[in-house]
Amino acid sequence: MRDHASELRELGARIGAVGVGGAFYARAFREDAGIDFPLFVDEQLAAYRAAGLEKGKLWEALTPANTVARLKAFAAGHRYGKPGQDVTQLGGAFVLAPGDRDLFVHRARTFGDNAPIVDLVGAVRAWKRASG
Amino acid sequence: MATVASKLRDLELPDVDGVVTRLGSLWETAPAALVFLRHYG
Repeated sequence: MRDHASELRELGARIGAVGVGGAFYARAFREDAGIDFPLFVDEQLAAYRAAGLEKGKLWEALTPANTVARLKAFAAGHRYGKPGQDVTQLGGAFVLAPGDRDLFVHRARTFGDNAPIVDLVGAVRAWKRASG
Repeated sequence: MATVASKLRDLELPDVDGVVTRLGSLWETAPAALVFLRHYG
């Protein structure tokens, strides 16, 4: 997301991230990752529940597919940080628009199930074309 | 059927600096990409 933030901004989109852990971990993550968009703290998981995001099963983190995904991420230089309060909480990605429209919805089905950022960018591009 | 945007619109969350934002304000005038993290990192 960080690498595509400027592309999204050039299209006129705003960016936000929500995390499950406390502000201390969130602040450290923001500084380590160098992100410059708002990082919200949702310790009660209210937004996660409202967005329909599910809990994963810990054994799923050990499946061959997930193991390969983690190894690829590690090889690419990504490192896991603090998991926050709930290690089973799955993530998601959305592009939301004026009029409370959902332009893009991705709810992770398991660990490592991340939406391609190009899909989020594509949703914003499509909205911009349709809006003139 | 209610959209995700309508369900999140009135929720208020603090950012890492304690500044509270109503989530719906992010997409009032233009689209917003909102990513829910599984962990910090």
